[in-house]
Amino acid sequence: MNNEIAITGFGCVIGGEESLERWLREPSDHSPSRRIDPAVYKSELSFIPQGPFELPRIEKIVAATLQKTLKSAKISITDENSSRCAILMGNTYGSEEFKTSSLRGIERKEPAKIFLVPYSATNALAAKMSIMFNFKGPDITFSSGAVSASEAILVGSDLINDGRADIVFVGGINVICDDLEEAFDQCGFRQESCAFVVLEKKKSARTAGKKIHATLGDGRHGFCADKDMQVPQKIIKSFLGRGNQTKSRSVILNRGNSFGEKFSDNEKFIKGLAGKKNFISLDDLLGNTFCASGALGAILGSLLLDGKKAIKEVLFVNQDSFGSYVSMVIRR
Amino acid sequence: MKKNKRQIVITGLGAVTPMDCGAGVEAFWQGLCQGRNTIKPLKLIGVKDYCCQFGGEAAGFEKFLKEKPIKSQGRCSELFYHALEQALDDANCRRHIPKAGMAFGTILGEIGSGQKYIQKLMAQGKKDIALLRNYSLNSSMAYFASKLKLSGPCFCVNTTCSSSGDAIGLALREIEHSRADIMIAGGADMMSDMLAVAFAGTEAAAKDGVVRPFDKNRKGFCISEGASVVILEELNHAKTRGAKIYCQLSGYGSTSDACHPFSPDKDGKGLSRAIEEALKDSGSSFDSIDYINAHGIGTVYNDLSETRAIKRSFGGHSKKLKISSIKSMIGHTMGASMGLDVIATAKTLCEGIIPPTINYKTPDPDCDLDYVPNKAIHQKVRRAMCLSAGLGGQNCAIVVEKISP
Repeated sequence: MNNEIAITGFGCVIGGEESLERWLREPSDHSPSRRIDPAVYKSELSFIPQGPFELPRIEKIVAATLQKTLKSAKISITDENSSRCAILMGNTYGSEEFKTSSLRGIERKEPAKIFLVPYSATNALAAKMSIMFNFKGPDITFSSGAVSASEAILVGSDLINDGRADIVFVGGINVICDDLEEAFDQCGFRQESCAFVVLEKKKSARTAGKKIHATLGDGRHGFCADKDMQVPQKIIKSFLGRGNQTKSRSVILNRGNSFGEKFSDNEKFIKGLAGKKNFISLDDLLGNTFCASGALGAILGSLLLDGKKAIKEVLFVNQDSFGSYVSMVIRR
Repeated sequence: MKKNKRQIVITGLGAVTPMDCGAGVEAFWQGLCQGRNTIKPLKLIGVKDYCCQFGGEAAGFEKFLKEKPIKSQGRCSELFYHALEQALDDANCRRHIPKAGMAFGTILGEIGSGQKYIQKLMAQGKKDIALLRNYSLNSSMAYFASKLKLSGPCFCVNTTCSSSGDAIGLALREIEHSRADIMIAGGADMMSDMLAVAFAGTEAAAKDGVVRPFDKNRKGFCISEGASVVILEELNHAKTRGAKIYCQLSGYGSTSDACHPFSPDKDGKGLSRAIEEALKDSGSSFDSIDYINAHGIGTVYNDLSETRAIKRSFGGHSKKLKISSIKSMIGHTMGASMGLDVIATAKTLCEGIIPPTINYKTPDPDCDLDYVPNKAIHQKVRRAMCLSAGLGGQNCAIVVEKISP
């Protein structure tokens, strides 16, 4: 990944709140809803034509967030640019409400629901968003747990760098259902969330006079069977450098603990190097945001650069408790 | 071949399908060449209440497993494990594996664990967190990445039928971008009640259990299970260690129809764009393709859409192409399917044999290309393409070609 990829827009919904900036400024002054009520996004969803069937709740949440993101990046999808627009989503559990109710139906020997696959398959969301928003480029769902959307950001950057796409919408979703709620709570879940970032070539964005929230720098991903995550620690140490370099750099960490898995995190290590002021734990701020964490971390990095002029670079490290990690540098 | 681009080759193959039932890639390949039909009455699941009672099961593959390493993982992981071990042995690359990554495609993953979770919840009111952990789509990938102590990029993707194809394509990109020299790529999906309910209950299922891709009387597809693994390697890395090279993976294209949640674009425009992206990526002209391993699932609309896409992209050359669908013999193996297409096509390039499309009796005037009906043919193939049109409009095209001496 080189330095030519810009974040030109973003949108997020976190338990009914829409401003991650406000979370950053006032981390304790929030009473988010555990579940997002799509009814509050009537105006964002007004573009969807009324059909014979009600959209699943999860699709409404994603569509509303994407619509906000499109407005933020001032993008119109036309027949001319649609084949150059891609959507890459982080989603590991799919539309669990529909899937688990279907599994219950199987146990009760109920007739098959005709919309089972298009509504519940993990990739269905990205496919449905392609239809709704007319994205005709690559449409891929990453199901790598917490790092899903971060993986998608790396791949999205490649698509643009390689000339295979001009605009990439990268997002992630974290939505629960009754059958999984208790398990998600055990992993530190607090509220549902959905987030998207828009990636474009920096040069094109500048030419078009678009606001550039941040630029993506070096990105890496890998797997650490060793749960002490020594490789991400090396990346973090190298990034923070020494002396004045350290003062102008911040680290955002997402620990991504899942299902009670004990997982050694890097928090103590990073605080020791970066200092408490230049470290943010995404988990502490928002709870476990599962597949939305990749996009939320990128947005948070952009906001940090905007809010703290002394910070020149942010490193976002996203870990999944199964062992995958992604790190990316976010710059002005 | 595009200049100034790392060249990526396939050095190992692993497959588990209803054709071989775990006996390995050679058994799979020989069965394809013989045109054997492996769609039978389903036995692994209770199908009494489902309208389609036929499918492909890799029955008894477990007896070929070297060990039963998986304590808590389910059938999907076991299928993938067997294919993985075959591919690693075939590539003779275990020494290099700790630096490798893995790209895994699946649609339902360990859905059996999800079903058991719900069963326990309904029967006992208990929420079994261990089952839920395994139910996560990336649990199989992570289990084996951990077991092999991989350190490269490891991720799981889902694009329905194109899942293993996109996994292979994204693995290609990792090596092209020098983030890995070796990648393990493929996919798996297991037979399950969920699969039967989801697809067998729809109008797209072939209720008589006969899959007839491109035939005028085609009635749909049959569900199946399987696993596919290819070892992708940077060419010089492979040559330096004296690896056996099957073929080169030279192009990958991925697009979306963006038109309907379960029907393909009737004109095949989305798949056509994927074909053209893959050709451009490989630096090949359309008339350099000799053979297409088709998606060919046997439904009225998919086969028509695919034929139109091929005609749109290849023009007059489409009449010279050989096209066949191995799904006519093994059914639709879901997340494993495109990986198995790539494996079969790699063998075609090496052996000069094109497997047939079986059950082809009545030509369809709207699908009027050469689908290699019923019997395999001997033909030297220099460059070939694999296609997939995933449910929801997720298209994938991969170009494979003989390696230049």
